[in-house]
Amino acid sequence: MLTGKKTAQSLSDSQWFGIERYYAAFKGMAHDTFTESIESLINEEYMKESEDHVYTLTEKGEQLLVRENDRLSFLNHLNGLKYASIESTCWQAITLYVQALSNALYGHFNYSPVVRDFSVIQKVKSVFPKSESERKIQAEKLYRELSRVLLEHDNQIADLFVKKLSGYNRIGSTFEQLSRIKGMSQEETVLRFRAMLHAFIHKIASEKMNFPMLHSLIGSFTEAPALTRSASLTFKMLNNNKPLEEIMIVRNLKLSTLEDHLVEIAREVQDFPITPYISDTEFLKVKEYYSKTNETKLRPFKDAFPHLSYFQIRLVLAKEGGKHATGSSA
Amino acid sequence: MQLEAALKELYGFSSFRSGQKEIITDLLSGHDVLGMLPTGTGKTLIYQMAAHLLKGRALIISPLVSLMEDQVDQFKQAGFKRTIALNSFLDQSEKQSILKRIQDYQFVFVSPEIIQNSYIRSILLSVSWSLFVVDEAHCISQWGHEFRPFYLELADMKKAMGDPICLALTATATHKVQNDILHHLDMKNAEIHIHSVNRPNISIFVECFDDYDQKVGRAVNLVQQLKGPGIIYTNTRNAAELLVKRFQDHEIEGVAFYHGGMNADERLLVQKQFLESQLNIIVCTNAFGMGINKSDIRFVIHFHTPSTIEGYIQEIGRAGRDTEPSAAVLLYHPADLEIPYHFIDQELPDSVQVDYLFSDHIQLRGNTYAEKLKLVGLSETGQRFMEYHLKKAGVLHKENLDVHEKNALISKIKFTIESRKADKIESLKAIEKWATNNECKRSGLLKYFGEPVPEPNSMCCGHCETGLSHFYGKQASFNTSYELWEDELKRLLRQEVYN
Repeated sequence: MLTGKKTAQSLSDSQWFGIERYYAAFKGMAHDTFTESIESLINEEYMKESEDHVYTLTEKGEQLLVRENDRLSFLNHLNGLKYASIESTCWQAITLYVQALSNALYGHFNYSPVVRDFSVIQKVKSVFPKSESERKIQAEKLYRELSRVLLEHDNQIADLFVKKLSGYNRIGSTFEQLSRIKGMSQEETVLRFRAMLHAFIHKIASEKMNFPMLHSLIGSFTEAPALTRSASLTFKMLNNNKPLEEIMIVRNLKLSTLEDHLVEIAREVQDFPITPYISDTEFLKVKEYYSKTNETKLRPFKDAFPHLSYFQIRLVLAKEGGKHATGSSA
Repeated sequence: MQLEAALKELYGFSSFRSGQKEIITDLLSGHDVLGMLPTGTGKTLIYQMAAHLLKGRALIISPLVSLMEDQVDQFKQAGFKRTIALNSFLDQSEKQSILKRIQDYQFVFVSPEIIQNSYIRSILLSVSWSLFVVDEAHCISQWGHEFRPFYLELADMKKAMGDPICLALTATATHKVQNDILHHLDMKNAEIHIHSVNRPNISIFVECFDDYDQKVGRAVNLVQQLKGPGIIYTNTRNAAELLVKRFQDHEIEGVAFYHGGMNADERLLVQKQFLESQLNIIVCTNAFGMGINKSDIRFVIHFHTPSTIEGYIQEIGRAGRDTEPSAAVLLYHPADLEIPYHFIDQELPDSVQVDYLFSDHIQLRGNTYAEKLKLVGLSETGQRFMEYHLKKAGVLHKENLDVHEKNALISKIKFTIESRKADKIESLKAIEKWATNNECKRSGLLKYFGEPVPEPNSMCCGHCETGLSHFYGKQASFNTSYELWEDELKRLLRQEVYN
């Protein structure tokens, strides 16, 4: 869950345990690093293993959390499950736009872009002002909007954000460089930046009227359902009335992958119809069983409805619970 | 004279570098060209200008996907905006939107593997091409240091494109390799322009160590004294990071590591910072250093000995592209070559893996050889190598072979693997000998390529008593710091002017 692995299991667990904000908090963390962290927390008596693989905080641990509460308050802005899949695209659009606009404002058109993602470049091109007078207007708007969001944050965090931006005569800093400047671990630097970015994205998405400039840049990413890139392609093809067989062939997908996509779509997209995959009557039966038992494991469902496939059960649960039990059949 | 006028107009230069004009002239008059020009002498300019003057489209085969994007950046910055790279970083929809507009592009970079895809190939073949450029053409030769089997398929592609003018470029090719290039690319009546690999403005130094800590100390010492900007090459990502840490412990500013294990966004920032002179020194692994195209690099340090003389020449060629004096320093330690030795063993399949692939083991049964390949667990290079040989034998899509055919193929493949390994070990021995012997370093390199020994030069190499102190100097510092983020945001968006 911490590395943001998009398995049905980690997605649903993060919601089930109410820790979705930490989803993908440590992208790319090695399993060993995780185990070592747990071990050191136990060695220093912040935590103890109460039964096999079940850990509880010690009193010392509780005290540490209270003591560090202020320093760690930035974590409240983190919203991993919602934004981990789009944060990088949003950031890339903002930083590329600022870099392009800044250079243009100083009459420098031959700058070397810090973003290479094809879709982001297309996005920035599509909203980039063509004339000098337009650019001046946009720059002022962008300045106001950015200042407004940044002023809501701690000065140090706003500084991180600006240092990471690129523009005329300056290429943004890497996290490695920022962590040395700020005297923080690289992990904390990244996490602080991302928490800020999540708050930023949330602000723009929820107050688009107040941030028309920034919303024009990232709105198309925030308003799309939070699907993995691959699932969103599947979703797009489904919307174009492509049959499943064709999607599998064109995109070279295994059936199990395609099913994972459908489950993901059913969870994220409110009005996605699942009747092509399961009949209305079966749907209602599974739904009823779910609300009666509040069962979250797939096995009992399978025992109760042996004629249904795991895929069909997962679909219903994704649609119904949204929250729970979309675990993969594995 | 016309060409000079075009050069001035396109690039603002008033004269060509050695070799450029002759090759462009031959291309414009319709000849195929094999050009061997030392690294850092403007090979790209040749096909940029040729395609521009032919008012046509150029397909450029490039072996390193990771470098293609750097090349595209460089083309765009040079004003050739209609440039694109087709590579595995693009997803399906991005590929499609590029292919749909293929006729809008003037320069298209591709890997030799991607044009094997029949869909991509058919789209590429639907437009007309004036120029077929094979970059790093030595990859076509079994005897080259970076053999890439799919380079051997390029002649077919060229033919299918209607035989546009073909330009094969390399920086380092022995005679044997040059002949292979001409033969495999089916270049008839090609004009051949071979220039010396010698870069007289780069002085060459080799220092030998038998103590690792001393070597690290020397690296710190060099970086403190040598005038930058500079590049330091290491064998591994880990070594690159550790070295940067050591430099930072010594309060050396403006240094960063750069390697394939980094997040791509972060890596790009480091690269651009270096290009904009915000950073003074980059410590990188060999593969990624190749993407850095900066003209004023004053020194290249090899913290580890590279595995071939060809590779070494290419890497030191990053220095002094502006033709100003520059230094190349190799810090040799006998253990340097252990990793490359190990790598040679790992890179190609061993005989157990080959036997396994052709066995009727239950895990593999019912699959074609193309599918079996993925199940055997080979290195990327190993997989590519086997795929090529199975394809060549016409068995890639078969599930089984009769015993005779199978045994013949197995022994043929094993033989090829063994001779490739022997060859690579030969190369390692050659560079080891060159590094440790007591001769003029420049002559040693030139002899390897069968070139005559150069005129004595006062800035030749450590052996010829050139002192490294010529290259000492103060670092130019580029300050990008600021006090308040509000002020920096204003500066970026140029607000103070309008308020």
